[in-house]
This record gives sequence, structure tokens and C-alpha cells, in this order.
Amino acid sequence: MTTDILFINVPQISLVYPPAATSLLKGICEDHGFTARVLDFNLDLYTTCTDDSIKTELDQHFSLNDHDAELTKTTRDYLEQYYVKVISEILKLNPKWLGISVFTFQCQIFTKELLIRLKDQYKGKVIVGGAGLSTNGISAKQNDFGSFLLDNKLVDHYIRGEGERVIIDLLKGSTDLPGLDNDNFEQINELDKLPYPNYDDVIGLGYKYTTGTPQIPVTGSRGCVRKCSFCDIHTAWRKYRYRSGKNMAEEFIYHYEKYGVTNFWFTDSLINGAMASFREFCQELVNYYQINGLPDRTFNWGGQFIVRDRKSMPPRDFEMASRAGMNGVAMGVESLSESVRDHMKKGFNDDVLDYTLSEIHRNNMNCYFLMIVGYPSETLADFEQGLDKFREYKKYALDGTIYGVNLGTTASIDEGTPLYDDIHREGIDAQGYDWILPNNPDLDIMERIRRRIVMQEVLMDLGYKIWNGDSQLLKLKEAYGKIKNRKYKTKIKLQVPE
Amino acid sequence: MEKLRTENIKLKLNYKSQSNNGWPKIRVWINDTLIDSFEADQTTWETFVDVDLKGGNNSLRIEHYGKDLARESNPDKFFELEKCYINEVDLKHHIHKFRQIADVDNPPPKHSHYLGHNGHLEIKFDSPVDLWIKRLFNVHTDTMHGQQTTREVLDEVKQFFGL
Repeated sequence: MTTDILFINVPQISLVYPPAATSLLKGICEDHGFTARVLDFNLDLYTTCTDDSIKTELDQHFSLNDHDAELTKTTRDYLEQYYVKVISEILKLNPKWLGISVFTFQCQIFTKELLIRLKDQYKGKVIVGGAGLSTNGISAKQNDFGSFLLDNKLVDHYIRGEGERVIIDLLKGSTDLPGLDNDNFEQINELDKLPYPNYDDVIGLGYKYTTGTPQIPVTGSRGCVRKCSFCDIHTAWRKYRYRSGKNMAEEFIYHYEKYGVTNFWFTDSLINGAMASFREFCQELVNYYQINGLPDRTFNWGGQFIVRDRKSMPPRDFEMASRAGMNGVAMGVESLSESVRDHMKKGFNDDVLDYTLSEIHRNNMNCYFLMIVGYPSETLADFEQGLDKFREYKKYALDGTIYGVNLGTTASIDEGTPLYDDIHREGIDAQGYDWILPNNPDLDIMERIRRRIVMQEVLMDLGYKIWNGDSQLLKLKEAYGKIKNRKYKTKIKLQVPE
Repeated sequence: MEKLRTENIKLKLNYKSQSNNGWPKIRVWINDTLIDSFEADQTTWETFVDVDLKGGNNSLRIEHYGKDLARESNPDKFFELEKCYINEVDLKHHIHKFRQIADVDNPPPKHSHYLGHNGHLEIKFDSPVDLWIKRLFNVHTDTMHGQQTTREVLDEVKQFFGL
């Protein structure tokens, strides 16, 4: 039987769980009577490669996203052979449509190179979608990569924003659609009505790097209830939409009963944005455990989580979340200086953060800190205060309550964020890492890098587990060189080789 | 002879106690070093000490001494450990790794933290203490491929920037 659409995952996406988008779209296509398959070349590239030096070089190549960078001959040869394999598998299936999930900018190089090599061999239609159509985050203002692919006839269409409805209309033959080859996508309001993703094609793969057992991503909401200065989520998703707690719990149970999976990760910007829904979700899971004679915490689930005060998230909410299986929440703490967080509009003070950590600790859960070092308003005193606070929280690193810290690179000023808009309104040209502001002139790129390095070293000495440190530091090193040589640009130059 | 490592350790105990002819007398030991002796007339005790430790098999002992069982058992003069913090980390359920060694003929269960007689509670630990705590809580240090953080890259980048 001919496959109507083949979705593929391409490097580089996290290897923790199978990418959500392709399996979600598969489920939706099948729900509308189309045949759909998912092939995964993200994990496959790494698991089939036995040479660690090639893996490391590819990691850096994709994550740095420098389209002009050259690989060593060994790695280039390996990658070229891999493209042959990918194309062979696509042609073997010969679908009417090929859909590539460009999840982040880190998928751009592979996508571009694959499409160039595929162009003269594959006769079906090609569509791409995902946040990686824009190199600088999901800001709606830029769509450099999607436009580049379309302009160079490497794809037939791209989809901006949410693709669930557009893909169906496209398969049915419509082309005048919101978000199809344009940036005017529409948000989907009734998330409860979407079918569940179908992970049949990827559940057996080795996506289990963190937990050691398979994990499934679930999306409970889109958008965010906060409007942090450095973030562009609210630009891409103007409204915060969320599923009912019952609907989310039913999806967990569906996957558990179908695949036996007990580990889940919410892909949302925050899992506790709508507390009524969050409470209902936890209660539904606990009810399911009780009815079926299962112990509390049968499921293990986490996601990004906002720090809330005692009034909006009292201790009983943490207790119920713990019983339902919440664990490993990633908190956008960003800075351990109150004044910096105030500028960021994070909406919580030190007492609230202390409260949240103590509740997570008391209920035997754990969390992960997402940080930004060198934020534009950060003074040296703010930075030192942050280090002191990390010293205070050392106990939580030792007992695993804080199971990891991601320090990021340093502050990047990106289009689509309030910070970018405010700074540019003052006539200052700040792009990505390339900025210095008149009201905090000591915080130049070198000082930001110094603070970033010092913070990592202090935290490692204190016993914190730092994630992504190597790739972030190498990225900083590269960015610094370009800024110094006036070659730094946030808009990458895309071209198809002759 | 094994080389000893001097460590700064912060200790805190939460306890219950009862007086009869005076409060329970408590001594806290690390290996053969007496850390403190006090009368348990509060609910917490804490200290910050420098001690010389072996790599492994060190012992923290909380000793109840000087009780006259014949005269001070009704009401019972006792000390009961409720919580133990080492370097500010609440040992939580690992407190049950304390074992009781009682100076009586019919000792209570080893897992009991109730010292209604002379004797001591003992827990074994390794040095460095912070690493022992991490192992106790099963805190992993590994990360997945591509998300690692290493001293090698940190040092390389520090050197590059002259830091």
C-alpha cells in the first residue's frame, strides 16, 4: 500500500525521548484516513555510529549550526554515507509526501544537506515544519530557513506554527492555508479535541537515555502564562491554551495501556500554568492508581514548571503531584538575584523559590535549574549574590533535590523578545551575544564569559551536576572569536552549493 | 598507615527527650574524637567541626550515658533521635542506617532511635562526606552523550580566555 506521508526525525534533537511532532502528526493523519509512517534518523545516526570522535564532531557541527564550517574528511565521509542510507530508505517507501520535522535550528544543516541530495531522486512532494524554520528561536518575525528552502525549490511547502490542521487540508489538496508558506498561522484553541500521537513506529527505538526506560513526550499546553523579558514564546503563541487535566491523564493511561510506558515528559513551556487543570490531572492519575490497585507514583513525569507562591500552589498541591508521580521538573529560575529576576519579570522572590524547593524536597521529588548568566541588568553584586545562593542550596545538590543545572551560554538578546524590543527602541543594536549596554558598560562579552565560566567552576566544586557545559562553553568560545573579528551575525547566510 | 583528611562538617540533630533527675547526658563522637557533650534539654543540637577522617568506615556516634536505670526510668529519662543533618542535608529515611548499641542485657531493636538506657547510636560514613551523601541518595554524576560537562573542556576554555 502506498504511504500517503512519511515523516522523518532528523538530527539533532534530544535523545531522551522520541520526538513528539512526527508521531503527533502521524496520529492526526491516520485519524483522517491517510496512511502515515515515521522514520527516525535522529537517534539512528548516533546509535549506528561507533566512532566517538565522529559523534562528537557531528554534535558540535549540528549544534553550532555554522553552515560554512567544514568537517574532517572522516566525519564528512561518514555523513555522506549516512545520507545515502536515508535517501535509500525514503525511496524504498516512496511516499506521496515527505514531511521533515525541523525541530530546532540544530536540525537545519542535516535537513538542508539531505534535501540537496534528495532533490533529483525523489519525485514526491516535500514539506517541512517546526520551530527550526526560524534560526533565532520561534519568534514569528523571522522565517529564514523555511523561506530559503522554498525559494531554492528544495521543498514544495513549509508550515509555520501549529501544523495539525494545515497538514490535513494540504493532503486533501488545499494550498491557501494559514501558516502554509506564510507566517500567518492560526492557533488551535481546543487542544482536547486533537487525537493522541501514535508512537508505534518509534516506541521500540532506544530513546531512553536519561531514565533508562522508554519515555513518551506529552503536550499539555501551548504558550505561557508569563511574559519574561528574554523569551519569545508569547510572540509565537499569543494565547495560552491548555488541555483539561482529565484529557491529559487519559493520554497517559492510553500510552501506558498500549505500550507499557510509565515515564512521561511534558513538552510544554510550563506544566502548572493552569492550576485547576494541573490539580485535575494529578487527581485523575491518583484515582487511576487506586482503582487499579497500583501504588502512588506508578507513573513518573515531569516538565517545565514555574515557581509559584504558597497561595497559588499550596503544600497540598505538591503532595498530590508527588503521589501522581511528578518528578524532575525543569524550573526557569534564570538568576539567583532577585533584582535580576525582577527585571526579567519572573514573578517570584527568594522566599517563594525557597518555599518551592523545600516542598519539592519534602515530597521526595527533584528539579532542574535553567539559568541565564550575564543578563543585561546583572551587576557584579547580583552575580556574587547568585553564587552565594547556590552555596546555600548546596544541600539540595548533595541529596539530589536539584539534580542538574543548565547554565546556558550567556544572555542572548533575540528578536521577538520584550528585551530585544526595549533595547532596540533606544536605538541600540544588540543581536544575540553581540551587545553592550550603556547602563551596564562593565558587562561586555568578556565579562559575561568570565562570569559564565566562574559560575560553572564554582558549581562543579560545590557538587552540582552541570548539563551541557561542554557544548555551551565551546559555543561561547566560537561566538567570542566572531564578535572580536566582527564576523558575528545572528542571521546565518544560507546558500545552496554550486 | 592510612592518610587522614581533615574535613569541615556541620552536624545537626533534632531530638525528643525527657527529664528525670536531670536531662539525658549526651556525647557526640566522630571516630575516637569527642565532638561535644551536652544535656539534652532542647530539641536541637548543632555544631560545626574540623575532624580528621579516614577514606571509609568512619563512625558518627551519639552516646547516652550516666543514666541510673533503677532510679531514672519512671518516668523514663530518654533521648530519641528524630532527624540528622550532615552538612545541612537532611538524611531523611537514611537515618535508619543508624544502629543502636545498648549497654543492657536485653537491648531494644537495633533500628530504634530511642535511647532509654545507656548506649549509643552509630552510623558509618566515608570521606569526602559530600560524596558519601551523594552516594547515599543515589545521586548520579553521569550525563547523556552530547550533554556532558567535563573539567577538560572547562580548563581548555579557561586557558583560551586567560582565566
